Amino acid sequence: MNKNLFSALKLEKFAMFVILVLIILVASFNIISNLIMNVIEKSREIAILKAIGATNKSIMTIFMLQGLFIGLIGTCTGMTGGYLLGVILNKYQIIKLPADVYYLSHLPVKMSLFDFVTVSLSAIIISFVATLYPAWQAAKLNPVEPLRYE
Amino acid sequence: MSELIAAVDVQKSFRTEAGELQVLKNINLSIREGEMVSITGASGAGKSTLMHILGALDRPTAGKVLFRSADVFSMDESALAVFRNRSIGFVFQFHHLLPEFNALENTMLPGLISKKPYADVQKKAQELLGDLGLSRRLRHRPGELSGGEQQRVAVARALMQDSGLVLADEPTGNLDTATGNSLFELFLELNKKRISPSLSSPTT
Repeated sequence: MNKNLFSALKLEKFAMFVILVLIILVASFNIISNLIMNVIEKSREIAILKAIGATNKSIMTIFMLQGLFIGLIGTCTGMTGGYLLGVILNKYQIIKLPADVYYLSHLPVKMSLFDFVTVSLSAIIISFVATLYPAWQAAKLNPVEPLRYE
Repeated sequence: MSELIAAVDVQKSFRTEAGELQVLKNINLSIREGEMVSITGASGAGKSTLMHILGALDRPTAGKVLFRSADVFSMDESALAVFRNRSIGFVFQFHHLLPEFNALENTMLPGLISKKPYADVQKKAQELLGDLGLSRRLRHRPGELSGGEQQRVAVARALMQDSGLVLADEPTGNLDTATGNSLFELFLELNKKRISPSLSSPTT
C-alpha cells in the first residue's frame, strides 16, 4: 500500500547522502586550501627549521597534526552543536508539520550513539586525508628561496 | 690542522626564462678545522649560493662538497637534515628567528630537533646566551629585541650543537656599522675561544 511512499523516502535518503558528501567534500577542500595557504605563509619558518636540521618527515608531521587538530575541533564543535540542536528540536518541537499529511505534528529527531561515532570518525579521517597534500608540499619546500630574502 | 670542508669543482646553474644562468663555475676551496674564512664579492657574485651549497641546503649542478673527507651530497635527504643539524650552524643576513618563540626557545631549537634531553639543551642555551650578553633577554621574542640582539641570538643558535662549521651569510648586512663591527668582533672572539671556524660573506 505504501510502496510509493517508501520508495520516495529511499530516494530522499539517497539525495540527502549525496548532499552530505558534497558538504563534506567542500569542507575538506577548505581544510586543504587553508593548509596550503598556511604552508605558503610559513615557508620562511619551514626553511629555517630545515636549515637547522628538521627532516622532511618532521615538517610533514607538523602540518598533519595541525590539520588533524583543526578536524578534531570541528568535529567536537559539530557533534556538540548537532546534539544540542537535536535535544532542542525534540523538547520544544520547533518544526511543526501538517499532521494530516505526515501523521506527525512535529519533526521528530532520533539520535543514536552509532551515528555520532560513525560521523565523528568519518570527519576525523577525512580531515586527516585532507592534510596529506599540503603537508607533503611543506616537506618538499626548497629552503633556499625563502631564506634568501626577508 | 686537518681539512674540515672542501669544495671540488663545484658548479651551480639555474634555469631561467632567458636560458641557463651559471652562478658558480668550478669553485675549489678548502677550509681547515679552526680556520676563519671570509668570502667577499659583488652582489650577485654567487656568495649566498656557495654558502647554501656548503651548508647542504642546495645541491650543486656538478662537483662535490667534502666534509671531513665524506661526500656530503651522497647522503639522502634525511641524512642531510641530520648533517645540517649536527655539523653546520647558520647565521643569515636577516636573523631568521622564529617569531613565535623567545630567544631561549629559538636557541634551543637545534638541540631539541636532535632529541637531546630538554634540561641539558635549556642549560646550554642559557649559557650561550649569557656568554653573548643576552642573559636578561632570554624570555624576549625576536620582535622585542634590537637587530644586533637578534643576530646574537642567531649566533647562539648556530653554536648550540657545537658544530664544526658556522656559515654566516652577510650577517651584518642588515645592521648599522657599529653593531655590525661588534658582531664581527664577536665572531673573532668566538673563533679564538671555541675554535669554531666561521665563514662570512659581506658585500664589498
